[in-house]
Amino acid sequence: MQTHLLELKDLTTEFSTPDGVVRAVDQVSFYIDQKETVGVVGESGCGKSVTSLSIMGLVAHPGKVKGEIRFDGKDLTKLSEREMRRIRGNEISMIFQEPMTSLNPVYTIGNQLCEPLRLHQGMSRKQAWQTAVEYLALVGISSPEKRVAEYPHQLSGGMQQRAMIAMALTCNPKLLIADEPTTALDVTIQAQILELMKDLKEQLSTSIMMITHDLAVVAEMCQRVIVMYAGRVVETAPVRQIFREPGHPYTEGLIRSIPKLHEKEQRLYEIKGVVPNPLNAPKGCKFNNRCEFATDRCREAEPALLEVAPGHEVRCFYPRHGKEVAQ
Amino acid sequence: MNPDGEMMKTDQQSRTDQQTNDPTPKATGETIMKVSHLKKYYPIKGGVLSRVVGHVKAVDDVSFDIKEGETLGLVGESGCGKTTTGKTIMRLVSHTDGEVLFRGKNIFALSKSEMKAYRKEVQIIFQDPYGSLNPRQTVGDMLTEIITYHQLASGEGVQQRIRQLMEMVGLSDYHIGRYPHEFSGGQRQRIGIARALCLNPRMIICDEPVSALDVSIQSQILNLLKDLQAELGLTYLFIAHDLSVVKHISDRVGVMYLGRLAELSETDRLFENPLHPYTQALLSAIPVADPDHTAVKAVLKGDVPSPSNPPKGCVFHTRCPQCMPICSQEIPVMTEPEPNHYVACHLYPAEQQHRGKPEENQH
Repeated sequence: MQTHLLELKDLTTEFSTPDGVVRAVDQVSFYIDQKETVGVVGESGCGKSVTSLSIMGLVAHPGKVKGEIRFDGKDLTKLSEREMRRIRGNEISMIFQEPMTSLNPVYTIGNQLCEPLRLHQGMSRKQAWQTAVEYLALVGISSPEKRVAEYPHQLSGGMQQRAMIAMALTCNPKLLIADEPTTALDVTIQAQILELMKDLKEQLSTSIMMITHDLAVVAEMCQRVIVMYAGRVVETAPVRQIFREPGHPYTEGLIRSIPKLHEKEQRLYEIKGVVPNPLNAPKGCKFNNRCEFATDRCREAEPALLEVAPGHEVRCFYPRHGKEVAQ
Repeated sequence: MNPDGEMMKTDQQSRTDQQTNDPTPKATGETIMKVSHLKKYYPIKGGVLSRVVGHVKAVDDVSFDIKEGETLGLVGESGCGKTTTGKTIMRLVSHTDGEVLFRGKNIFALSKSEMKAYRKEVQIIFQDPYGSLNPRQTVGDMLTEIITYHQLASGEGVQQRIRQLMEMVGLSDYHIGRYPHEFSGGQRQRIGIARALCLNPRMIICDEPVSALDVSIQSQILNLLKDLQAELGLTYLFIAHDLSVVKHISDRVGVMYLGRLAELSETDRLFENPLHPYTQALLSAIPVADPDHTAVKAVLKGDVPSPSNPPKGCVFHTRCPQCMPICSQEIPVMTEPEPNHYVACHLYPAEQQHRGKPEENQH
């Protein structure tokens, strides 16, 4: 049996607050294979970003990470900070949502691109500078020799995001975590960046974990989708299946609430209510207070994540487009 | 705040109107606002004496009109001037040149008391619902202040009006005494809408009202805006960068690029048959939430040029896939190649203009 590149087993990330313990990520399990693009979808507060920070070992002090994160045979939660540093930015790297706040404004682009190369790959100053220029060219920045010596504020938003991608790719990571890489960008620039990520994935055979709230981006980029709600994985399936036969009422609601570009509709579908406060989540299924199909059973016990079709798992007692699951 | 039967009927009626080729679906046809040659330049100051060394042309020669009861969408990428257009129309920023006629009166020439009346008629909903609410004021206090300043009600009437407003936007009575931080993003936007509705306006400028919201909340707010329009006969100028949202809510859509209006038409026509190369590129750039959708993408190269130093001629020619020699020389004028479909592009020269009835005669 093939081993997965990344496998999460019951990952739980908690934060202690004065009001109680908040479980931002609640027993999340999923895997990502080599050369695969997996989308992690959900609304704000569903735990998708904290999941990625947990993988990177970037959860700050009061936060506690439990469970197993197997990457390439190693359990990342058991590694020392020193060992983790060797993986971070080298084997797993990350692109953040806002390029302007994640680039250091007082160093040149070249400086920031060289740092991982010198630290992880042990390149000389000259070699690293040369490689930095090559990577800037690779991500489609025009006149890279000139841009490499510039500061982040001299670049436009799209260019900054390209520089971020270049930085994430310099060490040929096995896994690239992209946290809302195009959310802050305009559509025409978004199209450029998505196109670029697709090309680079082919060229460098990197796996991508794509965190986004935009289902359209997922449809375009990913092979498999993981839907999260209130810290839980509620559905995971191949991309076509998610859009054709969504199993969880939440997934279905999400898909139906997007205004369609090619169809005419008078009213949009609404998911009633709002995401529950993590300190005060409903008993049973976390979605039961917004679900139009909820029964007493949903309010009593929480359903398990069960397979309804090969590769398609749903956390619901009454999955749509499938028969009721006896749990 | 649920749709009642009557409202659904009007919605359906308007749809059938649209299908029978009525150019102004929901609108009564009367022009409520006419924007002509609106310009807003911001000076760039430089040097020791901070003299004006140039201008950022945020809005440059934009003209359109809005009909009573319709929704006009204004789309474009960041920096295209859509928000500045909205703010200039609200007179939140001063204008540089041009005219905005609201019911035939130039709003830039209004006296103080006329201005107060204008504010009652035209209101705005902002993008960031948190940033635009006073954090130290409860919802009730905020609404009371507006109502008493404009002397719309007094005594018990004020509370009554507030309760009515809360019901209209789908909030409850107990929300009145709360502060903005106690609400979720979607609820805050509902408060923003309640504030705009407070003065019984005829027209609301919606400046990216759903961009900061999650998908499931976005659909709630869009439905609310549509319901309110049907109920109160409001006119919307809907500014957004999300084309699928604009398509959903608008009757007509204007596309802006670098301070200029590139194309303006009825929504269906614009999305089915975009004429301007920029609109075409913009439409093909939108990702579609359908894994089987394989469209040929016309990915635009490069970034939007700086509005302080816009390209000569057509502002889009530096990125245009169909650029011609004339494009870098002359600024294209608005032409009407199809009835009610306006485009500013040299591909559609004025000689080939549609020879139908002039627009004024159609309604």
